[in-house]
Amino acid sequence: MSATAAEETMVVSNDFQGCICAPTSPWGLPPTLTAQAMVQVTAQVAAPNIIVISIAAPRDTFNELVAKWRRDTDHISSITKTVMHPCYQTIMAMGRPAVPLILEELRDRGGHWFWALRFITQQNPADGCVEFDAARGAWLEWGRRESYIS
Amino acid sequence: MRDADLEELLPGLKHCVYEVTSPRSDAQNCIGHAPQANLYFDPGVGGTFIEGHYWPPGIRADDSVAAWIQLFELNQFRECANSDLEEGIEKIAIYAGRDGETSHCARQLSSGRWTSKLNKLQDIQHDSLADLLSPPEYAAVVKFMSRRRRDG
Repeated sequence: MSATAAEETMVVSNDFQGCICAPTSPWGLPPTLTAQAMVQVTAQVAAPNIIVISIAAPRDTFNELVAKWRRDTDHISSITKTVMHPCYQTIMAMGRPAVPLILEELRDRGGHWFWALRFITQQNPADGCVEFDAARGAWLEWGRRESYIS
Repeated sequence: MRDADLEELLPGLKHCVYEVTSPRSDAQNCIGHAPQANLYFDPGVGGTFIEGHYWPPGIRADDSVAAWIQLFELNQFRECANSDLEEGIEKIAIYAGRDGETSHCARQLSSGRWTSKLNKLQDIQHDSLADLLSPPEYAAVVKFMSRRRRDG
């Protein structure tokens, strides 16, 4: 099978959404992170002409991004600056594989994740909630219903 | 009670008297803490409301000093000249970053000390507004506002 033929029959997970956003703020990304570390890509030959690619968000990378994001933005009021931080944008770029990690983080440690969740999932179970705890509760309930978290 | 993580973030705290007075919370920011409303006030991103936050209708929807002044005026605060303690008067101080955008506000207690909800972090009480100055985000105190005190 030639490379061209393989590419034509490649099945790519529809779960991957989002974009890689260039950091524009002075914060920058942690030095150990590269674009290749943002998601784990694995490929399996499922049938003679079908390669299934699965994409997962690595937990260590996610945790490193969250730690730097919190360190840089937890003391700032602005949610615009909070969600435009390069680490937050990188997590958004992980797409759907990041959703269970985000929901676990929201459940266990809180955080202003509603923008990322809405962007990645194209859902908004907290629509209209103005109180943080109500919005958090709505997203966690959604996450359990969709089997992303227990 | 002091907090080493806060002192690393805001180095001015290392050399002053302050106390942590609440656990960290995402449910209220400095704006909510100043007029004592249990909400996280934020105008949204590029005009898009983000759930879990509140911004009153009719108020300029950005992080400018002018927008925060409008917001506090809704709570009967008016611009004033300084942070001097005055009997029966409650004052707030608005901090801005080097970019000129708002980053924080603190509320004066009747003792003359200040209470600050450090946005997604804890509340603290501190002696001076200068205790929190820490560029680039907490670069300067740019505005004072006051209203008649309600907590006695």
